[in-house]
Amino acid sequence: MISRTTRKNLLGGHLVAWGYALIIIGPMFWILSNSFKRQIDILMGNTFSTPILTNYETLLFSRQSDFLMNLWNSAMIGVVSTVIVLVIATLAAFTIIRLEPPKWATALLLGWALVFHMLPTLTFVGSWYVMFSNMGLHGTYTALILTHVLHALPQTMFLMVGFLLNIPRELIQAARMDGCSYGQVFRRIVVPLSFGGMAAAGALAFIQSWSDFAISLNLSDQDTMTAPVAIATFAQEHQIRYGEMAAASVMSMIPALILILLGQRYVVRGLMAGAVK
Amino acid sequence: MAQLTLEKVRKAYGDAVVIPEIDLDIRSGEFVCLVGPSGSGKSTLLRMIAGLEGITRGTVRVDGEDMTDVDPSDRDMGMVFQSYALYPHMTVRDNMSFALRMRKEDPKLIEERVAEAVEMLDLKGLEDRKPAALSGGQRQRVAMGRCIVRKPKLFLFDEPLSNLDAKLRTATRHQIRHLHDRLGATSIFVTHDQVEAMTMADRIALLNFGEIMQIGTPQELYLQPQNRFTAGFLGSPEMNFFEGTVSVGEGGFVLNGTASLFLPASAGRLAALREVVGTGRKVEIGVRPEHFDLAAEAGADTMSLPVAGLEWLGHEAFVFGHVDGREIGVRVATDASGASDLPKPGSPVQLRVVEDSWHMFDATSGDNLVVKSGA
Ligand SMILES: Nc1ncnc2c1ncn2[C@@H]1O[C@H](COP(=O)(O)OP(=O)(O)O)[C@@H](O)[C@H]1O
Ligand SMILES: [Mg+2]
Repeated sequence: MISRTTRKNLLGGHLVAWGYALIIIGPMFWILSNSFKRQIDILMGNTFSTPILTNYETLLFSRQSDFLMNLWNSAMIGVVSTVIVLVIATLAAFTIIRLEPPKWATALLLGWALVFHMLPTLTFVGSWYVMFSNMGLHGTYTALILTHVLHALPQTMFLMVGFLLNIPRELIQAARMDGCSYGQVFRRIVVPLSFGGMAAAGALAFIQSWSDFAISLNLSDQDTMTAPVAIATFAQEHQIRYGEMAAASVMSMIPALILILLGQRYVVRGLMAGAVK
Repeated sequence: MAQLTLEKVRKAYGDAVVIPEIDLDIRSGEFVCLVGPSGSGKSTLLRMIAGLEGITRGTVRVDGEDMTDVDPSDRDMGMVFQSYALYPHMTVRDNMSFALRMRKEDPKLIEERVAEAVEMLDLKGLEDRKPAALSGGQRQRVAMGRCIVRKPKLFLFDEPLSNLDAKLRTATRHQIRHLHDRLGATSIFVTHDQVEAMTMADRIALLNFGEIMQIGTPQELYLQPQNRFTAGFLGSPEMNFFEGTVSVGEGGFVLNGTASLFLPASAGRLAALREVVGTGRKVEIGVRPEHFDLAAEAGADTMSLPVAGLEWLGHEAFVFGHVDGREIGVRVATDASGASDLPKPGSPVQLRVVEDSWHMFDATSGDNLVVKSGA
């Protein structure tokens, strides 16, 4: 039997959960509905109007629109930087916690990661702009991928350290005695056993890259522009193209949503395992 | 099958010296138990042999070959860990064949070896299971199988039985010793359990604070302990100790201490020890629970023990009581009729030490003066 106070608490819990969901879903729904409206309906504040597909058609098929390319840029930069960041972070985590480098080296690395993670990205963007311009790399994929890797590295490394700490030391020692070099231990034991963790950390790194605005705004050019930067360009000097902006936002949300739906199980399980143990 | 030598091996973590210096020689085909209290450095020593732990100073040799700086992956030793350390993402078969696959052995040979080990360890039908789907005993056997298939030079065990329940532990003890004999292996077995050491070992090396207190057959360690530590560590209930000085009496020695005790001795032992005790040095007398006789009545050569408790174990029983604040345990024989003629708690019994069955330790150095003098 559920007592009265429990029921009250349950009700309170539901209210909080639904309220929270509303805060997140509300704007998304509003954008979704705007993406099917004419500019005039949006400006007039009409709640209901006949849905139209013009916004999407313009985005996808109009000569002036580069949005498909922007999406491709985002995807490419996101995937490549995520793969690189995962490889580096997992190797670094393995080195830190199982190869026992000198204490100061570990402290230096983790200290750097923490400081770097705490500083706002915008602090670096200016100097990156100058650096990459001097190197002639401004506006290249290389510049964007490198900076996205750097941006996601501290957080990914901390997560991977947490996951790899769950792999017992004796397991690695057993593999060593079974004839594995450290490289083989990494490939045959550590990687298979931290798949869940890598999926979780990878999903977070990808989403971070996908939604990045500050870095891409400064380091991309017309050809390498990512979706978030492109969306911002819909706000032009003389008019704001609300409809297309909304449609573009909806389209850029889709990959992240799919990724989360598919990876949710891993992400939650992975993050929990890292946190609890 | 291989022979192992440790020469002046030392281990220190910074200032913390875990193993000051150890020399150890293990013969080919031998089963040696490293036993000692928790924290005495047994695991550290084993892991140094395996190459998992660096050696501060000294040399490890296998069949005369210097192994000190050889990588663990090249030492060809098999190890069973306390936690078993099975690869959780691999099946039983893959766990067992892992080392052979790493060596790129012929798949046919691998299959043969695994089948052989599965048969030997009674793991039929479990080959395709993952470790998570196995019981503790099965996991332990898979861990052994992983070593067996490799036919390593040396088998290393680090308390592999401590996670099993008591009954399984006894059975597995026999199984391990049987496998060792059947494979003609050389094994080093770490345990803190003296019963495991006594029952399995050809030789026992007893460690305390990283030093070997004594090494020898179980019989040697039990019957001729070289020092007080060895005497106190082996045997359950523990040996009884009495402090004091000793003087020569009629047909034996007399202990003048907190409890005075008569120690019957043969002419040989009397002669051998007379000189040693003559100086009035402080000693500790050690008497095992089974080396007391119950006397019918009190006399000059008996000690009175008020019985406080009794443990009846079927084939034997132990009587406990306190003499001068120190607990004394005495083994008494039981007969088929049951417990009727056993001492009763609350009433005293008279104890007489069995001739020549007691030990005398120097109170400061702990050396066994009886063994030392050859008596
Ligand atoms: N990495 C380490 N750093 C410092 N001291 C250690 C380390 N590993 C073990 N020790 C110390 O070495 C001693 C022996 O440990 P161990 O070999 O595990 O003992 P045992 O296996 O006999 O119980 C213990 O006192 C332990 O605290
Ligand atoms: Mg240990």
